[in-house]
Amino acid sequence: MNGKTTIAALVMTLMTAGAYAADKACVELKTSGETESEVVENGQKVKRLVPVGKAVPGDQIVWTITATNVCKTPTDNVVIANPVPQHMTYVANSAMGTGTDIAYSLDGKEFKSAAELQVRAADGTTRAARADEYRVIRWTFKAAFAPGATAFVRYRATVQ
Amino acid sequence: MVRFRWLSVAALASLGASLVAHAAGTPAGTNIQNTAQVSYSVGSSNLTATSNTSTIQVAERLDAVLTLAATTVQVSPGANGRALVFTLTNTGNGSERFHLTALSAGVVNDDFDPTLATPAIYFDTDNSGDFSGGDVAYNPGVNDPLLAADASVRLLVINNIPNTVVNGNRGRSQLTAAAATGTGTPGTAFPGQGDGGVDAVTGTTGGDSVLFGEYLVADVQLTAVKSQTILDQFGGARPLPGARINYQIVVTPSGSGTATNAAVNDLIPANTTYVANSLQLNGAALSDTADSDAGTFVSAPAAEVRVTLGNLTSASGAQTVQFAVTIN
Repeated sequence: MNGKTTIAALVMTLMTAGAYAADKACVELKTSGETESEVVENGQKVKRLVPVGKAVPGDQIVWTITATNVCKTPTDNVVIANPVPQHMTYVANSAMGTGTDIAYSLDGKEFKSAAELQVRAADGTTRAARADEYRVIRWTFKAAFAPGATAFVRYRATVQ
Repeated sequence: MVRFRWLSVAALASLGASLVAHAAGTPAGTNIQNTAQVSYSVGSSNLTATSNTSTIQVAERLDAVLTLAATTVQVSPGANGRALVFTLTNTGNGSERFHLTALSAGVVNDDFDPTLATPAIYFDTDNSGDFSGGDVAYNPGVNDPLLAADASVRLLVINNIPNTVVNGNRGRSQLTAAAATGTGTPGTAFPGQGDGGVDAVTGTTGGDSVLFGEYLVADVQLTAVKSQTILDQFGGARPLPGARINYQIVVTPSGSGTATNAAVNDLIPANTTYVANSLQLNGAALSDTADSDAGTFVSAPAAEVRVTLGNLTSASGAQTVQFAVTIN
């Protein structure tokens, strides 16, 4: 590759990135709720996630959020945030996401790791926040999304 | 409050206490909605996007819990119109109507069958906690109780006691409450039949509850009278912090027959502290520990003195329990 083509390619890339950023979203996000259900496959009982449209208090829902890069350029600094839905309680230690740092928030503003998150009482004393107090979960991807790449994050919450 | 009763009844009552109703949870028909957000950068541009909104509808959970005010009711042979006092609580998350049925003949593990009165089930309409003139009879299919989530209603099951029973006989009578929408093993679904047309699903109780109470034949009657004297630290009788209150409970048996395993259980009043080793029965000191003598002081779950009086007849005479507390 000679120097001229390198520069040309770079210009192309920048132009493409600029064009997509201006008129097309590059990351598409999908949220789905499922329940863990025991089904029989080939005579074996196995647990499978099945889509759910209804639930009763006490039911546990698995929320899955899938992000896909639909552009022809990489996307950086991908951060997914999901408020725990109203009428639901986050299930301790259930958040997962390959290649992400997971943080939690009590107010939607300040995010910290589960170990660092503190609750301050009226008298000034602090204690570790309980999982059922988490209101927002945030996943920060450590690597960029290549064009066409897809990744999902997941957690469980119980219907109050 | 002084409670005196047969010892075996006290044991049953503690079982009833564990059946505490749970809060009903998110109301039936609520839509739970979830939308996620993403932020990212492409080149030097920072962008955000939101996901679809995923919706889960909360179905109606069918659950019922019955409890008894007292698991055992003392009766005399031939007594008419004796009530067992139940409370029905809708522990589901929707508004639900309940069908009620009472059964006395064929309830197992008792000595006699009480005879259900006609009608057999009443509402405690005047909220008196017993069977009285203002109470309205339950008429199946006509006035089935409709309870909001977490709401409860007091119900009376009325029986007559045969003349043939003898002292110490026990006869059981049971009440069944079933959700009108349906009952079945937990998880049984009734599509579209819940509040506002949402699905209904039976919860952990299966949508119904069955509970029996017991009539205990006792010709002997026990009465308890509690009195107190206050001694403050300045030689007066004012209820000051630090003052001592001496309590006296006199249990008097009357009538014929024997009260078997009679016992006095008395809670230590709030904001007072039991004076160690102050418990006495008929003037004789009793140790606080659970041992061979009749008295025990228990600190948990609630501070209480307990004295077993054994089998009492009118010939036993009055039994005097004494103990002391200090005001905190």
